[in-house]
Amino acid sequence: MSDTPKIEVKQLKPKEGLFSKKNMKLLTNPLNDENPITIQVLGICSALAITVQVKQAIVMSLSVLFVLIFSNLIISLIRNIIPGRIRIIVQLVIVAALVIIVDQFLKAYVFEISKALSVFVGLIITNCIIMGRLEAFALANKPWPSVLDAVGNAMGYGIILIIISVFRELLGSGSLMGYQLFGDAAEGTGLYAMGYMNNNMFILPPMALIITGIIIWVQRSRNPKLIEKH
Amino acid sequence: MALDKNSNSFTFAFAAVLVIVVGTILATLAVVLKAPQQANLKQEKMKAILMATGVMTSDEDMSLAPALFEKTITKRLVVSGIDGSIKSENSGVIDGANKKDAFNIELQKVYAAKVKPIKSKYKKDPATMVAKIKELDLNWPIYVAEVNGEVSYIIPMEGTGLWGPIWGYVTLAGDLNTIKGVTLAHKGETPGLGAEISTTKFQDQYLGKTIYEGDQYVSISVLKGGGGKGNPHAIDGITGGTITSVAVGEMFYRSLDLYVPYFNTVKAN
Repeated sequence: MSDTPKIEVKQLKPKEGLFSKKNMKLLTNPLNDENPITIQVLGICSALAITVQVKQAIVMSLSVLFVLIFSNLIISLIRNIIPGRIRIIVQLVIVAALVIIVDQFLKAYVFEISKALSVFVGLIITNCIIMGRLEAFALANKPWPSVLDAVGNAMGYGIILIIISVFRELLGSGSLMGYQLFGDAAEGTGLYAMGYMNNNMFILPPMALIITGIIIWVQRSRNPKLIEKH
Repeated sequence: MALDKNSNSFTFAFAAVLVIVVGTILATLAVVLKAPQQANLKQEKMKAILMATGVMTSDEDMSLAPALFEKTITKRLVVSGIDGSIKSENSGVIDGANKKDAFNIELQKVYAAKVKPIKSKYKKDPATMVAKIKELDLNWPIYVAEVNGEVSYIIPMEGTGLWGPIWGYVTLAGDLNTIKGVTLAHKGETPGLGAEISTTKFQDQYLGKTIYEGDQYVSISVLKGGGGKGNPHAIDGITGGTITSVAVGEMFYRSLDLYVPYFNTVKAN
């Protein structure tokens, strides 16, 4: 009978589940209500630059996912010992190191995509989403919620990137993931034989901005939380 | 916590430990991944050379390059710019450690270190410039290819565009006069203007042009309007990309001229 009180003490402190409602919100909020690109308007530079092809957008999203998860996790783990005066530099060092790791792996195993992404992998260091999440979340929260927050934000970023790139690759190059859908433009087969032409405007960055704008419009008109009242 | 997080000594110690840990991880990674990365660079170079011969196209996977390279490129030569003599000759499998192998010569480094200073000194006088470069007696790589029984020669080129390096390969037919293929690449020319040199539309202009007028080496110039209709020694430049266009013309003139002595020895035989 001596064991019983101890058990009762434990039961008095209910542990928060790994996927409790609060934690799940961290994961799902950035997908819609707090989307880093369309609502917070962060990370626009890379959203314009590397959304010409779906493949590039996916690799970029995965790279950001990796960097964000690990930087959030590491910063959250050491959040209590980071000296306040150099915390931004510490964050930068960790993010930069992770970005270099990603870049080296891409160069070693998916060389041609890494060439297409060129400087933009390196520029993940300056992606506002990452520093933003470190400052706003990881520095003040435990590791597990930080990881969920990272996954949520990276996916929110990735989804928008992939949506933009689907439009741009389909209408700009007539292909998806590199597969020609409308026939061969150079040889004039399929739809091209009937006079269809790729819209070169979709290849250029301004069109990505216009697509982003349309996504923001659609999202705001459908999500009641985002409708502003005047 | 007994430790004062905001003291100077803790801040320094934290920064030092962090940098050492991160540095060690990155250094280890760099060493581990060096081999696959270099293999990629090698394949990319092979693909660029094969693209100039027309054996490969830009959208083909570069992992096909090594096998095709071995089949297509029969000889890898290093020639002298002075008398055109052959300094080294290799064929078959490339030995990465053999620095004399034409494939292992890093022309971009040679260009930056040795050629560039001379180039800026004799900017106004291209003939003297090339003569001075020849005098250095550097190692100039050239590849001999055989496609469907036809021999062709592939020459690597290095130059400087508006914003950074430009480079490429030019393939000459067996007569060492007619251009059979050209690939050009750049590091950071202006998109839509100078960057057009890497498009097939620009490069296809070179096909069938000749670098000799009679016995006189003239190279291929990049001129407005292609230097008049039917000019066999000029192509049309890029509107708004004048500096890059001129740089491409200069690169062709200088790079091909270095091989003229070698061409002469081949023709004499």
